[in-house]
Amino acid sequence: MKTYEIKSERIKKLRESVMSQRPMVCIERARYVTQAYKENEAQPVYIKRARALEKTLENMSIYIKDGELIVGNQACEERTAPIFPEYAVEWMEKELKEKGNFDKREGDNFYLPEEHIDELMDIISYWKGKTLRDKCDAVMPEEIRKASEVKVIHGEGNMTSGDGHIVPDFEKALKVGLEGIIKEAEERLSRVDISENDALREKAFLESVIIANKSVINFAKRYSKLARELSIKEEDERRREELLNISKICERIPEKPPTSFYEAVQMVWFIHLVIQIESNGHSASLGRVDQYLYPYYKNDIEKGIIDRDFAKELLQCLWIKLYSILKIRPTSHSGYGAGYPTYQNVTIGGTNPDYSDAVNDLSFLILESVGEAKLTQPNLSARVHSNTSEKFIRECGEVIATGFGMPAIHNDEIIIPALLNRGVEYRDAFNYTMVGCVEVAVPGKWGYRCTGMSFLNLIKVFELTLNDGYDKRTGHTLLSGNGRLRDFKDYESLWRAWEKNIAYYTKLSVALDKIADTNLLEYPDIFCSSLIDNCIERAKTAKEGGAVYDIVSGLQVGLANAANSFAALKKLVYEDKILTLEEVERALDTNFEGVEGERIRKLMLKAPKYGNDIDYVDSIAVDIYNSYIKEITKYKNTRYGKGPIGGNYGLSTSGISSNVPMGAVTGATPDGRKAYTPAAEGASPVQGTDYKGPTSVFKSVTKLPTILMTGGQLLNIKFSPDLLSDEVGFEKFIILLKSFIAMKGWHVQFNIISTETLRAAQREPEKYRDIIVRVAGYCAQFVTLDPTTQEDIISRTEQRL
Amino acid sequence: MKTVICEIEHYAIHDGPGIRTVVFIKGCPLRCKWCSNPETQRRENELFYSSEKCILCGSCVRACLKNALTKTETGIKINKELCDGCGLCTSACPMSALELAGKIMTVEEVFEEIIKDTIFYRQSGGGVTVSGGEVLMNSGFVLELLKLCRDNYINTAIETSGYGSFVELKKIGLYTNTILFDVKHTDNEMHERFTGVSNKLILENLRKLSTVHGNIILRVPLITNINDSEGNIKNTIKLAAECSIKEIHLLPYHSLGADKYRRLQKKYELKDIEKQDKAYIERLKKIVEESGIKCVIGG
Repeated sequence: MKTYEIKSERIKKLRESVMSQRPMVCIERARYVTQAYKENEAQPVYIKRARALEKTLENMSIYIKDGELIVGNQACEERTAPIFPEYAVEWMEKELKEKGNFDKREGDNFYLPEEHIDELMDIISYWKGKTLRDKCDAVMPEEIRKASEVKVIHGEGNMTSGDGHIVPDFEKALKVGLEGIIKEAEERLSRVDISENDALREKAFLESVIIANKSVINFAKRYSKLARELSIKEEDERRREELLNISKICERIPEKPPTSFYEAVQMVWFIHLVIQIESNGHSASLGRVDQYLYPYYKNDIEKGIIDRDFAKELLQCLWIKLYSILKIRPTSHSGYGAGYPTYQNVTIGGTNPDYSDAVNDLSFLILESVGEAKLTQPNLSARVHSNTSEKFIRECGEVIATGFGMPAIHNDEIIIPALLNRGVEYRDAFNYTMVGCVEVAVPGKWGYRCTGMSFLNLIKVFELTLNDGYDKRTGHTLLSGNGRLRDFKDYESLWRAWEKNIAYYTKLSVALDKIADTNLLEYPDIFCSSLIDNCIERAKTAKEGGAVYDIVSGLQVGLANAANSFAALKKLVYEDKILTLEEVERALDTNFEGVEGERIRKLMLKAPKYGNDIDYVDSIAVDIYNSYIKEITKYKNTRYGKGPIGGNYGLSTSGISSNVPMGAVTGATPDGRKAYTPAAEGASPVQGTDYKGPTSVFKSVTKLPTILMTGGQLLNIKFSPDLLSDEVGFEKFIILLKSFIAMKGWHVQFNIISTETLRAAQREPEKYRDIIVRVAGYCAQFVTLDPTTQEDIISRTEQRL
Repeated sequence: MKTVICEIEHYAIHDGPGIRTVVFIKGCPLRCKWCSNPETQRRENELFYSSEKCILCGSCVRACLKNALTKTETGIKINKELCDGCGLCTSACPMSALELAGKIMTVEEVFEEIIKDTIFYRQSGGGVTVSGGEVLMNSGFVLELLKLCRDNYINTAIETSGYGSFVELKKIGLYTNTILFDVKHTDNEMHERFTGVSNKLILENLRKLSTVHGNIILRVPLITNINDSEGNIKNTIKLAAECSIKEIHLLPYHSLGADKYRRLQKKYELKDIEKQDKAYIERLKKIVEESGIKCVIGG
């Protein structure tokens, strides 16, 4: 098997620099945005936003690090998060007052230099009462507020940040340059008839597009100037040449279309970077990089302008830049995506509309460069299909086998039909890209957040169903009058109560979406919208309905727990009559306390579990989804009827790490899960219950209505390292991937369990109960094995590496 | 037809071609001291007891109708003569400290579990591998299962020690694509000492089988200082050559089954044995390959 190591000394150095940087907070953006707002109070919101971006890009500190080939920074230092005060400030004030800084968190800490605290406090006092959060709070209906406190729904992330989750039209931007975008806006502006009703709004939007794009061009020119200045002082001749070249490149692009691979990579970075500065939504993604950069790559390689190694260095410089991006979020939301994630997706591979393979040499180079860089960004996704080249699928397998979870595998065989089913034009469907983690969109044509705004906590819905809407933790009662567990004399009455509950909470989740969606209209991202079709033609931001497609989806969390809970009650109470409803109630209320509680929990743990290809329980998971589908299809999003195709909702299990906070508010459940412990992740089985191995997991997951999950289906498989310990294991792993394609699974990501993880599991077994390993003919939870067997398994892992 | 099944393992990758499902049937005439699945030895169902989970509540003792369980200060003692594997105690135990090693299943139930992975067999050229225990001790069940798999075009393999009736072996062979045939030692005395039986019948069966079946793979579980000498491997090669066998699998020693002995309240006699180093196994592999026979480590 292959090993992946960085060859370039330059990249090693740059990587070390960015990796060793302590996450910080920078207030420059907040300063300039606030100034711009103050200076433009009377202006239409579009102009205000464009001026805010312009002011930031004109004044923020810029730097070029020694050795950098790709330039452009988000804040005053690498891995430093800018402040976005317009979205929410209360959380900052609270954290600063209570804890003095942002570095006392349980995870994802940041440090704000002491000398900036006062200024930030001033900025906060300006924004108080004017933020997105404030506006959402002002219109928040009481039942939504209560349901959010119960956390049966969660939309915090969308009221404290912008949208993110978008891929602009890089292909077009590269083709016409930002001067082309400006020209398009000017042309559209010339067609505005100022006597029309909507004309002033249209005019303001189009003018803001021009301001924003010009400010990006000027931002690049600042780097051009800086590079020239640095070159004068530079003593190393080679570096001087590099700096002069950077200066030349930044003078030309992004204004003009790039003429080389180097220029194209730099331009992609500038566009992506400014989108990251414009808004603090995460998951802004790069799209099908191997497709739109290939013509430049091919040309430069063929003409000998660059060689493959230099192209790889440029890509790795770009990955390091992506890794340097950081966002700070309120602690109340940060648990939903733990580990400083920014979900900047890069997609490679895929099929062309004629079913030929789209893989090219650049796809391989990207794969290799990411495999070597081993950074958590970009989030690399490989599109595969039945006609994927053998070499590509094997190279993907090789990188996966190195054990850092990438690339994630996405299956054209289901995703393309899923898009066609939603009315996406066929060429667009073939051109889909991943956004963030597992959600899909057509690059440059899809509105924000294909994955939706709000989380729906299925495991909480289940708990509320059993308690007639009463939530023990908060004392709130939500939907009541449908009975509680002891009233459900048969499975059908339990199910009927569930249907009433899911209908109600689905409705609340949509309402929550609309609160965020409506108020976000006042914080438009002008630059980003200018790169989304047909925003300029319609003279609308993406949020107003400017995009060609706009299908979003809520995030459903805890599916596996809910399915297992239903199955346990069905089997133990209603069918086998081993337990009574009262016994179950007591056990859940007391969190399985005492010997009696343990006995009941054991029986529940032994009931059929989702993820083992057992129809009995898998069919319940499907029923749960169908009950949700029945409800969600009744609703439209705020862009419905305003231009985009869709304007409605899909399904999604891409709930990132929300399974942890969602579980942390939910009491014990009949699947044997103890109170306040994590729920299952995405569409994956409950941690540690997939005892039949990966083939059975695939079988269970593909029984779900995957074709409707355009918001993305998340499946994470922890792969026992001994299954990849030799050539035979690798061969069969590749076949497993091919089987996944044939079975039409949506997404799968493999985490090959490392020796370090197994060692950590020995130390802290409670945290690692989800690791399943093979032991002499059977699978077992690693943490339950005796120390000798654990040692033996670790030694087998080490043998491989 | 029913029998006791210890485990049905999906995504097995070392027991025949492709991705396979391995059915472990309970009951074996051999008592190999290194056996990593000691729960498959006895034909009757039996108990696994995990003392670390036990809270000594005595529920199991009260539940047992055969008086097979006794509570002692250090844990529950199982009288294997009296225990009939009914499993009442396992339901009574609140801690899952007692569990049955096997489960009684019909041919159809086993088949239903096997056919679930059809898509993986198709992609990989895999199928089912019936293992043990010893398939020849359950030949009626095995034969029916293999026939059913054949009817459904599922690739079949068996793993056998070769110790049993040749007539049955031959019949089973008719429905089996690949036979994984264990040769634990070529020396009869050593074989008897470490497995409890003579290798005479085994070698005779192998020779006869090789005249009627064209796809036999020899497997040698390499046990340090017992059968992993170059001499024994060379003898195994000779045997393979005589039987026109083209492939040998060398299975390096592991002690993963050791804990099962504790939970079965059995003694694991080989517990101090060391694992072979990788280089040595590679050398053995080379010896096999030099004779023109394909060699796979780990199978």
